[in-house]
Amino acid sequence: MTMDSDGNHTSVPGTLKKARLLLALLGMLTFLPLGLLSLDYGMRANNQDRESVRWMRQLDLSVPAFWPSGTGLRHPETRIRAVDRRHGPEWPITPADTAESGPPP
Amino acid sequence: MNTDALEQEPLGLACRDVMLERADRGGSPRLILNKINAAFRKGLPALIAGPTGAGKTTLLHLLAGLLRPTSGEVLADGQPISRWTQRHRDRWRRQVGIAFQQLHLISGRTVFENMTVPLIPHGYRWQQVVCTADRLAQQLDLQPLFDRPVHLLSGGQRQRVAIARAMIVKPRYLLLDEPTAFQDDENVRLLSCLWEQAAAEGCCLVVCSHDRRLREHMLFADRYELRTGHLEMLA
Amino acid sequence: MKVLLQRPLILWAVGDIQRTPLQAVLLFAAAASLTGLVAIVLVLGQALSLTCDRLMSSSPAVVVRRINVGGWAPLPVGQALMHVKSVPGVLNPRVRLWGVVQTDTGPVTVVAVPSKAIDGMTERPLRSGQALIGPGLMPASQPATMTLRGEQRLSLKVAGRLPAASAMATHDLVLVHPDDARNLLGLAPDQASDLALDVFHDQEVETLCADLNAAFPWPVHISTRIARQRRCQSDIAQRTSISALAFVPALLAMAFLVGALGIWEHNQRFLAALLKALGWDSADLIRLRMVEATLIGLPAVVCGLSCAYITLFRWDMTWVSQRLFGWSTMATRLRLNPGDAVTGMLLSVMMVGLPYLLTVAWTAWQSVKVDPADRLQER
Repeated sequence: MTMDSDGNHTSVPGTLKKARLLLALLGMLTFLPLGLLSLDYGMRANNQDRESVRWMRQLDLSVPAFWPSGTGLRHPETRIRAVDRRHGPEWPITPADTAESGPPP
Repeated sequence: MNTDALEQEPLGLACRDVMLERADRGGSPRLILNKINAAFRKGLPALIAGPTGAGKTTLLHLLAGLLRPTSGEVLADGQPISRWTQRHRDRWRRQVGIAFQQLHLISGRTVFENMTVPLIPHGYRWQQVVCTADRLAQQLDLQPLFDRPVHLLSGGQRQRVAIARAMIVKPRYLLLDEPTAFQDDENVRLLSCLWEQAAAEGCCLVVCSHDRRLREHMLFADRYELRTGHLEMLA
Repeated sequence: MKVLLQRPLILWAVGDIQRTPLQAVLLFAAAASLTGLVAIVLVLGQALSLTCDRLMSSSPAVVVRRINVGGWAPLPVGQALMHVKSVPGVLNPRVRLWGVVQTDTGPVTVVAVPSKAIDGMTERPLRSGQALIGPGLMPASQPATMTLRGEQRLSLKVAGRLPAASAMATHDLVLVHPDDARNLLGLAPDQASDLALDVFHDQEVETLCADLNAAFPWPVHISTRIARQRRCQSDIAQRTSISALAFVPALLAMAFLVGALGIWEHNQRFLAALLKALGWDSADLIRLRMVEATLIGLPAVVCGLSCAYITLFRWDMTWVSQRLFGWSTMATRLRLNPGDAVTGMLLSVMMVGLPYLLTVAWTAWQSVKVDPADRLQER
């Protein structure tokens, strides 16, 4: 019930009640998830990967376990493009090397 | 009415040499209103009668600023509203209460919602809206019907809703098109009292009707006849 | 909420929504699903990338592997440490003993742990014949031995499981005693897999590579953390960009939304004309449409974001590993950080919300240009 300036009671229309209910529902659909997400965010943000970081450091792992073992991306240090015979000028080129790499210039 | 008299009557609505042409279905122009000169004064309700198709509704729409005349001007309290842009006329129309002949109620909405729709742009709080609607509904015997959708009402009830919608903002200019078409004698008396009260409070009331009960009513200070596009004041 | 309930315009807008529930529900569903889809696509790549970066920031700055014509060669421990210590700028050089071996369920990474307990992370030192397995290997109900096939075949007793919270690092690791590791990898007691070291600043690494190359008497392959990170980021970007194909149905949904709004507005023109005749002006009508759009759009966007958040950040999420990283066995349970989601979420709200509101505003603007008298006379 509402009261006017003369103090007379006036009834609240049924449409107002339904509209209020719908507005409350829409409000709940907005603020409840936001509240829950904020709570979860506050609890979990920035500490989800703490344990994994610790183990990475302790075990000296190169790459996290996103990729399966045995794949190139999991072990990128094993990916050697080619073995360059001339990897240092101080090492002499052996006859075996020459035969494989072609006649000297 | 001559134009000198018009200049002495700045309050209310006035038409000055208003002409309106419309293209008919064939595309050729047809003169609807021909050199209308009239002054509708505040506090002095006016009745415009005339046969069907005379242009009463068109004249009312002109006075409400919904239409612009082909020539001439419509004045509201001395302001040439017919020369204003649509934006300004829309704003000005907040002071106007209009009840259409076809009623034009919003189907699917309740009586309460239809009644209160003109109040929304005024920025009232909801409680004010409810109280205002309640008070007017009591006067028009519409309160028991508040929650009923308008398409479930009788013709007379729907018409009273349309009139309530026009009056709820306590308009400066109240324009009613055939407002008693579906009303019995008792309701005509009820409505007349309301209109008399509104006029006494300074409202400029213009009613278009060919209802004999209104023709003979003492409410109206000025009576006009609209025939073949010409408006004539009756003695 | 009380303030909102006092505003007749808001209640009128709610009434409009009540009168067209099907349209409202369709719009809600379209906006929510669109937002969720866009949020998942935008946030996933970013969250994976940032998590990977954070994990790899704990990895060694440089890894040196001895190589020969056949590829990798065992690293002599003593010599390697001696040579590397002569290179200025190198910090904390240590050898690593690790490799990939086969099990019944597929390849796993074997890592040797020192003979002492790992800094309070394990209860007691690991003994030969024992193994600590990662959380992705062997369900707890299975028998507590694991057969590893490398250079030799070893059956080790499972002494414990690594914590589930470390899955992103240890999912398919098997920690073994150094002797067992050497047996599996075919290494002599004075040999190791490779050498890990750190530097003062990452920027020094590139200049250090030449010195490291020259420091060793045998050919080496040098892998830097920066290069590894770059490769991993590039792969993540490539994999998650495929999910951007989801934008195609998202765009279709958006087109539906725009079309639906346009049709809806067209039917509303008579109502707009009537309201104008009753004292509403164009600003009031546009305000009404925007309020209606917000009443539907805001909860829809929030629900879409919530679904995206739950999909990406729920505890122990595995669908990303399965779909994106090609795990055939038990996939890694990713624990992405919600802190990485904020930018992506905001971007997705803008990408969906802004066009939605602009469309509503534009169609409302088109509808309020109506001439009231013409429309009313049509009826």
